Amino acid sequence: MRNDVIARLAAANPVPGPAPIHQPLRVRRLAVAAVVMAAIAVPAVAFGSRLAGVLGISNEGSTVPATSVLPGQSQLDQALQDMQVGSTMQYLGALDGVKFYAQRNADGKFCFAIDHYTEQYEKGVLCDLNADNFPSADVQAITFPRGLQGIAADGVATVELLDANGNVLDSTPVTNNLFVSEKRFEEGQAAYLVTLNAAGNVLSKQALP
Amino acid sequence: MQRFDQLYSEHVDAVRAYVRRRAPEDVVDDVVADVFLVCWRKLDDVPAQALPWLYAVARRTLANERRRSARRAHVPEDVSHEPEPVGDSVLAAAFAELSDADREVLRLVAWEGLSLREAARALECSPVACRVRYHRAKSRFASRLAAAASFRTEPRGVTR
Repeated sequence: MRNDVIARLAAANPVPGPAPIHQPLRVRRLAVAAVVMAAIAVPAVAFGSRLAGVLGISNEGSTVPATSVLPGQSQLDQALQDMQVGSTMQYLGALDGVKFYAQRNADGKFCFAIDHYTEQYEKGVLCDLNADNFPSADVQAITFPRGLQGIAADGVATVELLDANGNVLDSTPVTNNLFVSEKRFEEGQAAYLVTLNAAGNVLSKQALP
Repeated sequence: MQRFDQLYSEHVDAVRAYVRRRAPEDVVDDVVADVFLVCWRKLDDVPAQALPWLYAVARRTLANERRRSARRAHVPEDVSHEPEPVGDSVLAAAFAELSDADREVLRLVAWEGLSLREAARALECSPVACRVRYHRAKSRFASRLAAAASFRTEPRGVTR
């Protein structure tokens, strides 16, 4: 009889267990640290020999110490160290109030950091953990979750977010391999990240985590 | 690195669901990211049965997040918001009357589907303590539900 209570509670689960995933495209794996109020200290290991060219995009940026990327953000500092990003990053520029930094970590994975420098909280670090690491034929752009803010490969002129039915939720141009949009979406609302060239042809369609 | 990849791909959905059952959507991504950063950092400590361990990390991470938000006066307090049971208002009301500890052990069994031994790992207590906590919580929950079911409001007319 008492187990009826548990069964009744189970039936009222506000987030039912992960349903079987039927995705036409492979979901990418990312390690994201989008943290409020976090910081950067000097990592123990320096990777100064990693040059900007290894980023694989035209925008090679300028080398800056990791300590200057997200100053005063202790959790992001820890994230950068945990992700083995190293002591320097490439500053790729600012777009619409967001500064972009990128570097390959010790495993060669593409990592980047964003800093909404006019705001207190939107700061984060993200690494692409997949084997077909950005940029590659299938991976023409990499973005933070729940919105368009990331880095695109050469030749990408526009990025779009699509819902599961293929409807365009958001679209924004790419400038110097960078893109930013102010729109944010609920988790699960955006299903695909699409890249297009200047002629409007689709270059890639990636399922989002 | 390979083990982390495996842990991440196997458990990220379950960890995300766990967090979404206990926190508002706007903190879910941050908390899940923090959980896997801890996992990465403490990879050697992760047991073979990783999920209860990850739930324990998520529980502590959520507690830290709530403390942080409480210190930030300008952040809405709904960061401590817990999604309610859905589709059963009587059950939701009875559930809300329970203590945090009671709700958590019941959620782990009913929503995460853990055994009591696994729930003990997630709660970082002994299996015996977890069993006692679970049965007491279930009794209190059942009592409140029974009380709610026996309660009837008196019909009232409208007077002017």
